[in-house]
Amino acid sequence: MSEISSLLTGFQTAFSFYHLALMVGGVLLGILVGVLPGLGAANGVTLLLPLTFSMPPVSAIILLSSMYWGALFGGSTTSILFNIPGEPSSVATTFDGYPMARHGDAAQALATAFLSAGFGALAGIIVVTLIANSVARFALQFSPAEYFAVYFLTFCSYVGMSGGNPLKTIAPLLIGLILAGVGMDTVSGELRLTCGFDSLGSGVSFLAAVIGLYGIGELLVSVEEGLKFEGLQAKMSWRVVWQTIIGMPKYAGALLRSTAIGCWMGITPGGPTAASFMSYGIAKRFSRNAENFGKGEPEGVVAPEAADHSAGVSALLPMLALGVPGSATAAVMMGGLMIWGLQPGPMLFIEQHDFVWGLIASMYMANVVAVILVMATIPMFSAILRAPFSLIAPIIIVICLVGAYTISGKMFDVYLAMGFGVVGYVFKKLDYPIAPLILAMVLGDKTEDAFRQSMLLSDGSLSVFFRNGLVSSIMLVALLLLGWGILAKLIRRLRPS
Amino acid sequence: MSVSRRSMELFAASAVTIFAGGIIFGSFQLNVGWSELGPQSGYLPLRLGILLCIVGVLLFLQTALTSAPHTGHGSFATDEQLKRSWSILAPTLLLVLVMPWGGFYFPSGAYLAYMARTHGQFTWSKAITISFCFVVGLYALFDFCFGVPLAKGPIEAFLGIY
Repeated sequence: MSEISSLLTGFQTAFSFYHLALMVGGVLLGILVGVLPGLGAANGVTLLLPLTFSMPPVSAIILLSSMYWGALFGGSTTSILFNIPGEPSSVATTFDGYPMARHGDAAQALATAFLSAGFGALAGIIVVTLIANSVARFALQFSPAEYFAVYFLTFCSYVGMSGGNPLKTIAPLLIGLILAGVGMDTVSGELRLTCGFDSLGSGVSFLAAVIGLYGIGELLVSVEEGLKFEGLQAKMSWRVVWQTIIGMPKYAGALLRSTAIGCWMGITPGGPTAASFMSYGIAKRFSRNAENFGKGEPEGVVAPEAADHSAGVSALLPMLALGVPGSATAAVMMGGLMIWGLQPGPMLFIEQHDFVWGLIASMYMANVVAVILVMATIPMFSAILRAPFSLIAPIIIVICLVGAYTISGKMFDVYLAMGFGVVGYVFKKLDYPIAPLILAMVLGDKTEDAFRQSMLLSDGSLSVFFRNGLVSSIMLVALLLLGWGILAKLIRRLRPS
Repeated sequence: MSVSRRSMELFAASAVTIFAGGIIFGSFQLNVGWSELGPQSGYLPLRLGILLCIVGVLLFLQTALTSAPHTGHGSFATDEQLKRSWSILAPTLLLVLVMPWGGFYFPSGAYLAYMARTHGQFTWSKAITISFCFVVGLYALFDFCFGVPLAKGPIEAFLGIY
């Protein structure tokens, strides 16, 4: 099978002492940003990105992706020990993880979370390995119209799957698309929507947006809530880990189902947060211990964790094969790829074979490294949260500002990050989702290019998006998802309470 | 006293609509039609602006026309919460304003020491020591290890650090 030989080549690329050191460093940094409120995976990867510009792309992506895996594990830890989700996708883990810890089963809750997460991640990587080449080969048939349809589908799936107010998802999407268009027009070379600011000539940096929206905005919300860390102690022992491993088959059903949901939600851009909530809800509905959910039921930890990690891992597949990131962090990584001069999409599999398979192979290794490291270092990382928040919060803010500056060495990006921070605070409080804004900022240029090329091919007729079975079916699914998002909201409104 | 969620929802929807209005205006400064190269530079921004304007108006109407229990329930932030946010936002804004001429290192150190002193009740000596260690670590990491120099100000220049 070509996948296996490609994977073996990937292991040859990824397996070196330098790369292993990068994995360890990336995972540890990831756990740190996952543990600290206000610094999530997307923000952590953004802050690290400028430091990777001088690295070879394979090493850089190994470092960034390892940080992503570490952050996913770190986010779960604070959910269980502190009842504070380090990542939005870890919120569902608090429902049963924290009650377990309060009952004195913190170590078991952590071990259950890490093992489920590790299983979900490995299953996700296997799915990526098995179907990556096929997806890329399939995508080679795409013309600009199909590409536009896929981008449109991505945006619509956010509206359809968000579960919240669809208008509040559409608004950030449109804002992101508009912001992506600011600066020099790639076709005519004209400056657009710069309001006379020279600094906007090169566009609005999506990295500054991520730092502001996820970093500063989140932190303002945390400060407002008067965050006090009232953590529970946890000392991991290998005996507890072993007992948890033996007990895992009891939850095989929830584990497999949640992993499948996670893979699906990662590949279609539902994202890890939606996947973890959906898995938790379904696990509760089908569990024999449904009445224990919310009171410390291990199955309530297994389901969101497996889904969260399998979605996080699978989200890299559409990013690599189609150039469509499945999560906000994947969107940041895709931005990194473009900065390194790589074009995500099916041609990447042909032109940068070693890069793609090096990354996929590193995902196997980095996730194993992550499970071991997270078990070994959790007491140390949870000790960080015992430092006063009055010290942690300003340090995080300074790191965010430094991160914004290092994007291109311009103070303007610092101002942008600050502005986005205030917007992020308001958006978060009013339930406007942030991920669609980031996704639209990253995909905006590509979407516009695909749209313009398609329209040029059809002399301005929108029928180009329905000219064959493939593009019509993608557009149809997209429109159905868009319609479903709006319809579901109406039905909920009309249903008598 | 607190800011109600309803008024903040209306404010956000208005801000979205005004932003969209600005985009529509900005698009009309460009060519919004069609040329031999296909849609011109203002073609898509104009249409996206119009769509966003419609969404903004709908969001406004959704809040304005729905009875209070649905959208206006609860507060956006209490007085106490706003005070907490402002207590961190105001010094941060000051830090950002000082950075263009003061550089990153000294203002960041001063900011950290101030926050540790006022919010963490650290003694001044402890707060300054912590911030000094942090700034040195920052310099070692960015300027020294990764070769990514951060902006420097007059104090660094006085110390001969460029």
